[in-house]
Amino acid sequence: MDDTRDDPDDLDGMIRATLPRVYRYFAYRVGDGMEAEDLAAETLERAWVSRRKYRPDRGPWHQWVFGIARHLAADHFRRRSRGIKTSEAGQRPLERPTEDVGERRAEFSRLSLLLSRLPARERELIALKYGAGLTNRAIARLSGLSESNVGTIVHRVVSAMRREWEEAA
Amino acid sequence: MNDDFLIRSGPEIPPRLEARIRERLAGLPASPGRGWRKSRGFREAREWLGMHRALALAIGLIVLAGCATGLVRIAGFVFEEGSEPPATPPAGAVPVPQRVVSRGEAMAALSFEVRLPTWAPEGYELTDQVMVTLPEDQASLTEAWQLWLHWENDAGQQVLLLAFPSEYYRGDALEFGPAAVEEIVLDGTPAAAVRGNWGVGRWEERLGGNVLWVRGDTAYWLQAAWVSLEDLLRMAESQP
Repeated sequence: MDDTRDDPDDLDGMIRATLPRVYRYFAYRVGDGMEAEDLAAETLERAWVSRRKYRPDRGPWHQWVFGIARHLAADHFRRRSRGIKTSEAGQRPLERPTEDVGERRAEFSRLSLLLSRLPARERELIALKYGAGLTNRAIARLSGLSESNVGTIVHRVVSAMRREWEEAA
Repeated sequence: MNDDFLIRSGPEIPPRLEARIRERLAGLPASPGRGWRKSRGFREAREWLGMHRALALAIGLIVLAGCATGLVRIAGFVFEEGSEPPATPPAGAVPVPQRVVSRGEAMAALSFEVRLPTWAPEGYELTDQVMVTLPEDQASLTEAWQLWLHWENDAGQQVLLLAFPSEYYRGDALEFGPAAVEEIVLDGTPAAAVRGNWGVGRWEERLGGNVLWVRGDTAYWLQAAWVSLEDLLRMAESQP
């Protein structure tokens, strides 16, 4: 992810630099679907509208963006627990996947099943690590955990997921 | 399964999503950064207060809402949902009397109880200035005060809380966008959650929200454009 943001008003640059990781973060966090799309769109909108509040001296762009994303994820789960409608998903047609994408989606669906069994904190760390592609150091800054603690938890969770994956194969 | 697999397995971005976001974001203004704060803060507060003119007038005017149709009633409030923003006051309308006092002064003078939320979204702090508006012909009665408190962040964005004695709400319809009002339960009692706010000439769902409820003898209306409805609900729930 581009952390420099030389031109704060470059919309295309911001979308290209930010969308892939934000979308994948939400896909790992809430599943691959319209909810992830809506949350990613909402994150980018907030980041774009508030872009003049981003202070490079306080941390890299991605850290700031994922602060917004995590906040929205927390809102999402709070709304879901209250039974409030969480997305416009039901109002839009699903896109038909191509064969390649379909195969990848099937693999991710299997992975999502494992992710859905994780406690919230573990799933959040996995989403930040493998969805957002953040380093353990960046995750530590965002989560308030120590860097070594992040590494330990991620390693333990991935080992457990690997065992389950192989057992199910 | 290894690191590479976990990264590779991430789903492709749906082709339509990027275009959808670009379309949604193009033309959206940036909210002011820190450098704008001093020049914008007071003006923004005035704009906010202007947005609430409809409510202040609504409370000051006598409207027999019971005669109207198509209204939604939640927690003692009457809501009218529609796509047209509230009408501006007619030329020559008498403005609602108002003045600004310190929070301490306001709280000491009040003869009704106002419980302030103990939680606010990150970066927002309760300011010391309180605006007081007063229903017509009752300007000297502190029991009739309508209190406007606000939390503000570094960018000058605000969360507004209007508190007033519920007995002074006379059933005037509060106007919100189409299908925007939802009945919820707040600390065991019915309340209204409204997603969005009036933008320029139309209802904008993406502009924060509103929460309205009554506690004891006091009615509360929490509103913000740059804070999510979920955060407003959390704020309302934090009321002691």
